[in-house]
Amino acid sequence: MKISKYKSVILSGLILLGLGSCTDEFEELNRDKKNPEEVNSEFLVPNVEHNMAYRIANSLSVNDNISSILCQHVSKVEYIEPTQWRVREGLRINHFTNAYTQLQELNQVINDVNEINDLESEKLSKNEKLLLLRTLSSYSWQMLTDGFGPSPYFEALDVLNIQPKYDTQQEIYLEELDKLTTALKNARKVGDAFGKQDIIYNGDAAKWRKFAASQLLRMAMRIADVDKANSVKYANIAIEEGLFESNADNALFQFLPESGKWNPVYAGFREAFSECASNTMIDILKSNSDPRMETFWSPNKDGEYLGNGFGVKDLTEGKFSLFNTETMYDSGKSEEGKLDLPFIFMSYSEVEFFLAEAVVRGGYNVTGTAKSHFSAGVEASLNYWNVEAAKTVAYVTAAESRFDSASKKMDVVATEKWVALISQGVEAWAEVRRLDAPQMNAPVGMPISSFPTRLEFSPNEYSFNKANVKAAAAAIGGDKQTTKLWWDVK
Amino acid sequence: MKKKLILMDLGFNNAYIRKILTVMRITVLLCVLGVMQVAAANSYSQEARISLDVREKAVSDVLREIEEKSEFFFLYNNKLIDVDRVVDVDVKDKSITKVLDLLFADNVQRDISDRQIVLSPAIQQDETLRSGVVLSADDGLGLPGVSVVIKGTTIGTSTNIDGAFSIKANEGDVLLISFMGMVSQEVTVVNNETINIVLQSDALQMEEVVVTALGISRDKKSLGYAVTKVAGDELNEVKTANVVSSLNGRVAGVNVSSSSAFGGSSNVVIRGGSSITGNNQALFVIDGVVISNTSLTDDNVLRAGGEGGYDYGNAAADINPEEIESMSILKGASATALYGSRGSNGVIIIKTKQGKVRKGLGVTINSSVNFERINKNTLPDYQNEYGGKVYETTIDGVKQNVVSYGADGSWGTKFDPTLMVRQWDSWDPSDVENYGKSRPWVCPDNMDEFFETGVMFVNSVALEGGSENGTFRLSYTNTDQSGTMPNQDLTKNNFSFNGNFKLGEKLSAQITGQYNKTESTGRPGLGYDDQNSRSFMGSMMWNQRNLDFNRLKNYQTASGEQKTWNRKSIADPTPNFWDNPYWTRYKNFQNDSRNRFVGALTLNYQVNNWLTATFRASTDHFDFINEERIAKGSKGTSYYSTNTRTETEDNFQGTLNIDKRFGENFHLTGVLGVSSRRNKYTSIYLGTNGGLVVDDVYSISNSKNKEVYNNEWISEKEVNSTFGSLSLGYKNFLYLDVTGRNDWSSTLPPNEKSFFYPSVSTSFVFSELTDLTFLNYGKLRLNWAQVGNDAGISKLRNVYYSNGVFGNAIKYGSSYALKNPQLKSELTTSYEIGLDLSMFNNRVGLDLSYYSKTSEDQIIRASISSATGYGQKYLNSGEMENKGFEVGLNLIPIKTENFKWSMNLNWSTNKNEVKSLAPGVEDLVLNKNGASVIARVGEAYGIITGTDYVYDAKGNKMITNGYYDRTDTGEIIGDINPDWMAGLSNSFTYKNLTLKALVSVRWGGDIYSYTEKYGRMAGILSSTVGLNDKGIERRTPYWDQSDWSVANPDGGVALEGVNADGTVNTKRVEAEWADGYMPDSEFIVDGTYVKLRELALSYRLPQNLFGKLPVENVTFSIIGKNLAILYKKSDNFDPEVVNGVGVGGLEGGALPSTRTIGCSLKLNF
Repeated sequence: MKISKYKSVILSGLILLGLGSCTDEFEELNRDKKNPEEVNSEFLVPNVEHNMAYRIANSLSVNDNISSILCQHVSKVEYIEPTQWRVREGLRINHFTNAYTQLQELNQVINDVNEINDLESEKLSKNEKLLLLRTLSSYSWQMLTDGFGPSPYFEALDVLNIQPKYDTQQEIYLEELDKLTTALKNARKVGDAFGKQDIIYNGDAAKWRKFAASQLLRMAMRIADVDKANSVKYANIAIEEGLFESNADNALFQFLPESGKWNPVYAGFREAFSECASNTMIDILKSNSDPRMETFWSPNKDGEYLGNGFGVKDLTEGKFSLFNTETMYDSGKSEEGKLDLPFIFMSYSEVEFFLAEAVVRGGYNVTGTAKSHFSAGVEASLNYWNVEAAKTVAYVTAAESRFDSASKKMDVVATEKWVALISQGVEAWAEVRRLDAPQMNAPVGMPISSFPTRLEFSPNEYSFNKANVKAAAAAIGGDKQTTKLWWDVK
Repeated sequence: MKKKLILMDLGFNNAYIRKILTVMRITVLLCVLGVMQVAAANSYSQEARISLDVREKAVSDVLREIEEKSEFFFLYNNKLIDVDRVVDVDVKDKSITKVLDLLFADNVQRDISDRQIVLSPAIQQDETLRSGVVLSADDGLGLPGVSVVIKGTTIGTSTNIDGAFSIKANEGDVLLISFMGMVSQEVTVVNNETINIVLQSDALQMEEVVVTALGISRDKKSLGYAVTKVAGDELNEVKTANVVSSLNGRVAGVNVSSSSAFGGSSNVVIRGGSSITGNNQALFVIDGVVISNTSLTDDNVLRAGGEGGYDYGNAAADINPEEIESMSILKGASATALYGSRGSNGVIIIKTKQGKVRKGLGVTINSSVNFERINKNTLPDYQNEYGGKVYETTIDGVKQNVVSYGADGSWGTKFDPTLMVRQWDSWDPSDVENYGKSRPWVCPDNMDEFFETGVMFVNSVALEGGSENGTFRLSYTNTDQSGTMPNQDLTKNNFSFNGNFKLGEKLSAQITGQYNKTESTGRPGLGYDDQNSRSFMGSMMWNQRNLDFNRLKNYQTASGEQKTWNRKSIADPTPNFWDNPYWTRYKNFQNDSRNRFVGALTLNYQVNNWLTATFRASTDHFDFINEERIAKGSKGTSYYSTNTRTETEDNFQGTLNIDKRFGENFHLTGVLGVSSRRNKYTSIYLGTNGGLVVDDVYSISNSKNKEVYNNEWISEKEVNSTFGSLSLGYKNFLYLDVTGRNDWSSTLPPNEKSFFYPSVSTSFVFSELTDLTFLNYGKLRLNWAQVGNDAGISKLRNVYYSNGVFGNAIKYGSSYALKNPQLKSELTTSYEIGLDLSMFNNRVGLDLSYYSKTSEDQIIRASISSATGYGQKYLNSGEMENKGFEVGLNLIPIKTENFKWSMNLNWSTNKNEVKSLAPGVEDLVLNKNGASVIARVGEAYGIITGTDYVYDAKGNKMITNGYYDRTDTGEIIGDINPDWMAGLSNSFTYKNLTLKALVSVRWGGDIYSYTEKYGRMAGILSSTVGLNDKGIERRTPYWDQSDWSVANPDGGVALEGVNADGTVNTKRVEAEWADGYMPDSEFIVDGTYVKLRELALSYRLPQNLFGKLPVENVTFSIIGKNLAILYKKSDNFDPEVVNGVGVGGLEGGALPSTRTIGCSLKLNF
C-alpha cells in the first residue's frame, strides 16, 4: 500500500525530529561564547586601580562625585545644584556601588593569592601582593564610610546574603586599621607585587610599603578627635613602618592621553563647562599671595582672579577664573589641556601635614617640630606643582610666619593642606569636615543652608536592603546630609 | 471542520515527495524555485529509455521502480486506477509509452507531459456534473471562493470568481456550502436542477471559523477560551507603516502603545504583562511561522531621560499589512499552550491572503498615499514671555546687547520688541546678511516649523490564481515614506509568495515565503542624549524661547563649520550643550537596512478519513546593519559606528491531526506533535574611539584611536518539545479540550531542563438546548491553563569581561549581574470564564470574559544591595497576578435594504498585583531615571516611585526654609496601569458608500514626565510664568544676588504650605529655584486620552459601471488617522507616546504625535 510508505516517511521524520536533537549539547550551547568563565585574577588588579582612580578623580561630576565642589575648591556658573549643596541620588548610588564593586574584585584577587601562593616560588611575593590589595581595600572602605558613615562591612561581599546589615563607622575603621597593620607587618620580604599589572607603582613593593604606611597614618589621624588612643597606636605603627619621604614616593595614577584612559575631569570638561574657581579658593590664595594661584587658575577676561560664590548662577561670559590649562584641566573645553593629569591617591605633602598635626596634638611618636613638618608639607606641594624655587622659598617663609603667629595652629595647617589637596576633592572634603578650617561659604536663599557633612544613604538601599538601612539611619539619628560622622565630633 | 479545503482527487506519487524532502533543509525559497522548474522543464519523455525486469509485483511497485530508475513521476488517484494488480514486466530500452501500454489497458488514460505522467480513468464515472452558483444576500453578486463539499466525503470544490461551481455528484447527495462570515447552508442535489444558493452574511460571525494554535481552523463555538478575529481589510484600511499599531483600540484587552518616532516601535501587551522583568510582548505567528518581534534597540537607550539613541523599531514591522487576510488574537494561555512558553503573553495569529481557485489570473492593485503632519497640540505648552539672558557688553569698543548663548534655559530677559539684541547667528562673518546685525527681542514661537509633511506611498500588486491542482498568490508591495523631520526616509520592498499544491490524492503542500528589505535614513534620536543632541525633543527640553526655527536652518558657515544657537561664547562658536537641530539632522544622521526572509514549507498527508499528518519546516532570518555617525564640529566627539546583527529561528514540527466522529454524538479532534526550535542571535558592533581622523569619512579605519570600541555576541538556544491537544465534542453543544506540552530547553540547568504544562477548557453552547426565540446563540466557556517558560540564554554561569589594556596592563572585570546555576523554569497559571451571546436576529452580540492569571517562579534579574559586590542577581522569584474583565458588544442598530449601521464597543480593565519577589527582594526596578517604575510586593506591577511632598496631619504641604519638604525616593507617586481601556467603532454603509470611525480611550495610568521637570527647570513651559501670590510677575527677583539683600519684597514666590510649627509659609524664594526644586510627584501626569483614531470613507464603484471591462472591483477611500485627541490631561506631550518598547511610565522628550490623511485606490480584475 502506498499509504504505509507515506506514513513511514512522515513518522520516521517525526521520530528523527524528536530524537535527533541531542540534548547533551545543551550546556555547551548555553555558554557565553565570547567571554571567559575564568581569567587570571591578576587581570582584575589594573581594573580596580583604574576604576578607583577614575571615580575619586572625577570630583566635578554631578553623577559620580562632587567633592571638589563640596570642599569649595571649585564653583559653578550654571547648573548650580552642587553649589546649592544638592547631591543627586545617582551620585549616592554610584558612591556606594563603585566601592563594593571594587572591593568585590579585590576580594577575588585576595582569595586567589591566598590559595595559589602556597607554592614556594610564589611565597616570596605573596605578602607583597596582599599588602597592595589591602591598601587599596582599606582606602576603598575609608572612602565609602567617610561618605555614608555606617555601611555594610562584616556581612558585605557575600553573594548568598543579599541583605547585609550595616556596621558602624567605628567598627569599619578599627577593623581596617588592624588588617592593614597585619598586612604591613607580614610584608617583610622584598618582591614584586603584580609587576606591570600594577599601574600605580609598576609592582615596586618598597613603594607599596610606604603607601600602605601612609594610608595607615591617614586613617589613624582621621579618628584623632574621637579615639585618640587608637589614633596614636596606629599612627605610631605607620611612622615605624616608614612613610613617604619625598614627592618621588607619591602614589600617583598616571592617566594616559587616550580616550577612555584620560583624566575624567578633563573628559567632563570636554562635554560641558560650567565650572569656575570658587570665591573661597580665590580669596584664600589672594590673601596669602599664593604663587599657586596662577598654577591652578587663569585670570578672567579683565585679567583678574575672581571666583564665583555658592548658590549663585551668573552667566556673564568670562567673568570668573577657570582652571589654568597649562597645568590643570581644561575647563575651556578645547581639545588641549592636561588630559593625562595624574590622579594623586596620596602625596608626600599630605603625610607631612598629618605629622605636623600629630605634633600639634601631642602624644604621637613623631620626630621633628610641627613647624618643620608643616613647612615640608607646604614646600612639597609647591614643588609638586613646579612653582619656581624663589617663589617657593618666599611662600614657605610666609607660611611659616603665619604658623608662628597663629593662635590656632591647626587652622593654618588645615588651610594650607586644603589648598595642597587641590584635585583631591574627596580628601579635602573629609579634612574640612574634620578640621573645620578653612571657613566655608554658605549659599543663601537655597533649600539647603547647612554644610553637608555626609552623604545620605544610597536610595537603592531603601529599595533593596530596606530594614538594614533604616536601622543604620536610626542609629545615627536620621539619614541626613547634615548628620555628623563618627570621627567628626566637632 | 466545515470550512476545510478539500483535497482534490488527483494523486501524486512519492518521487515528488522525495524531492521535497531532500530540499527541505535547504531554504524554502529554493523549494519555490524547484517547483517552478518542474513546471517549466523540456521534453524528456521522448528520449528516455526504460529497462525493467519484475515478477509478480503490484503495478504501484512497478511505477515506483520506474520513478527510481528514471526522472518520471506519476500522478494518479489509487481509488480510480487499480494499481494493486500484480503484473510481470520485462522490457529493455523501451520508451515510456511502450511500457505504459504493457501496464495498462485502454481504460486508463495516460497524459505525458515531459517527466510528469498523469493517469486517469478513460471512462466517465456515473456521477453527473452538477453546476450552480452561490450569491451573496448582501449585494446579490456571485461569491467567489465558497467551499462546496459533498457532505460526508472529502470531495468538493470552490466557486469561481462569478460564484459558479460544478461538482460531480449523485442525486440525493447533500452539498455543504460554506464561506467565512456567512451562514452555511446544506442543499440536496436534485436531478436536472441548477443549484442556486443565496448565502446570508453572518453579521456577528458567531458561527465563524477561527484559526487557532498551530493554524488549526476551528468553529469558534467549540472553543473554551477567548479569541478575537480582526479582518485584514479592517486593519489595512488606514495604512500604517507598522501593522502592530493598527490593532490599537480594536480588541478588548489588547493594549497597543506606539512610539511616534519615524519607523519606531510598537508595543502589544495582551491582558497585562505576566512577566515581571521579561518580555511581555504578544507572540506573532504568520501562517504557522513564529516570527521574531525583537526590539532592535537597547531599552536603556530609549527610556525617558536615557542616554539617547535611535528607535530601530520592532521586527514585527516587517509584516506586510497588505497581505493580511485576518488576524486572530488568542488572549488566554489555554489558547496558546501549543505554542509553548512564548505563547503565554497571548498570540496574534496572522493568516495571509491565499490564491483562490478561479478563472484566469486575478490581479489586485492597491495604491495609497498618506500625508502626515504633527499635531501641534502634542508639543509642550511653552511660555512666550521670556528668553535667554540678555546683557550688555562692549565688543571692539561698541556697546551691544548679547545673549548668554552658552546657557540653554529661558529664565532670562523678558521679550521686548524695542530691545535690539545680537543673536546667535550674527557672529558668522561669512553670513553677510546677518553678521553684526541686532534684531528685536521677540518670541517667534515657531518650533512646529521644524517639522515637515511626511508622505507615504504604498503601492502593491498581487497576482493570484488557482485550479484544482493548487492555488498561488504572489505579491509585491513597495512602501516609500518620508518623515516629519528633515532628512528622513524609509523604503520597504516586500515580496510574498503563497502556494498550495496538491501533490496527490492525499498529499498537499503549502509553501509560503516572504522577503522584506527595509532601508531607512534619519530615524529620530530619542531619549535625552545630552552628549550628542540626537533627540530633537530631548535637546529642546532646554532651550531659549527666542529661537527662530527658520533661522536655525542656517546651520553651517560658508566653510562648513557648525553654527548653533548654543555657541560656547561670543568668541567660541563651538556648541556648548546642544548642536543646532538642523546640523544634527543633516550631518549626524543614521542609516540602517534590514533583510528578512520568512518561509515555511508544510506537507499535509491525509492518512485516512480521520487522521492527517503534517510536517512543517520554517525559518525566520534577518540581518540588520545600522550605521551611526557624529560629524566633526558637533558637540560630541566625532564618531562612527556600525552594528551588524543577525537573528535566525528554525522550526521543525511534525503533527498528527485527528478528526473523528463516534456515532451521532461525539466528535473528537486533536493534535499530537513534536517540534524542535533553534535560535541563533549574533551581533558585532564596532565604533571609532577618540574621534575621526579625516572629516566626513565614516569608517572604522578612520578612528583616531586604533583600540576601537567593540562588542560582540553569539547566543544560541534550542528547545525541543512534545505536545498534544485533544478536544471532544458532544452533540455540537458541549466541548472539552485538554492540552499538554513538555519542553526541553538548553537555557536551563541539566536537571531542570524539562518542564511540562497542561490545560483544560470547556465550551457549553446552551442556546442549543433552549427555545428562547430572541437568543440566536449562547455559549459559556471555562478554561484553566498553565504555561512554563525557560530562562534567557547564558544566565547560568558568571563570566569576566575584557576591559582592554591600560598601558601594559591587561584589564578584566567581573560582571555586574550575578548569574545563577540553580535557575528553574517559570510557570504561569490562568483561568478564564466567558459568555458569548447573540440575540435579536444576531443584531446584538455580547462577549464577556473574566480572567485571572498568576505567574510564579519568574526568572528575574533582581537588583540587589550593591554591598554584595554585585548590582544584580538572576533569581527565580516572584508571583504576579493579573485579573481582568473584558466586554465586547456588537450592535446593528439600523439595517435596511440600502443602509446599515453597525457598531462595536470593546472595554477592558486589568488589575495586577505583585504578590511576591525573591526572598530579600522588595522592589524590582523596571525603568529608572530619577523617578522609577518598579514592581513592589503588594502593589500593582508598574508603580512609579520617587520623592513626594510631605503632608502634615491636615493635608497641608510641609515647607522648610521656603521650599517644599520631600519624602525619600521610595514613595509611591503613581501607577502606570490604566483604569480601563476602550474602543468604539462605528460603520455606516449606504449602498456602495461606507463610513467608518474608530475612537479609542485609555483612562488613567500615570506618567512621570521629564519634559515637565526639565521644562520647569529650564523656564520654558507656560507654568513658569504668570503672577505670584502678591499679584506681580512671579519671575520678579526677590534677592539681589550681588550682596544677598532683598531686591523686591513682593518678588519671587511664597510656596503654598505650612512650616514645621504649623504656621503658613511666608518665606519668599526665587521662582527659578522653586521650580527647580520640586519633589518628583509634581511631575506625575495622568495618561488619560480619548482619540479619534481612524476615520475612513470608502466608495465602491457600482459593478454595472464597468460593463464588459475585465474589472471586478474598484474601491476608493479617503482616510484619516489620529485626526484629533478629543481629550487628554497632559499639557506637554501625547500620553500615548512611549519611549521604545518597554514598561513605559516615563516620558522625556516625547516626539509630538502625528495626524495622517490619505487616500487609496483598490482595483481587482
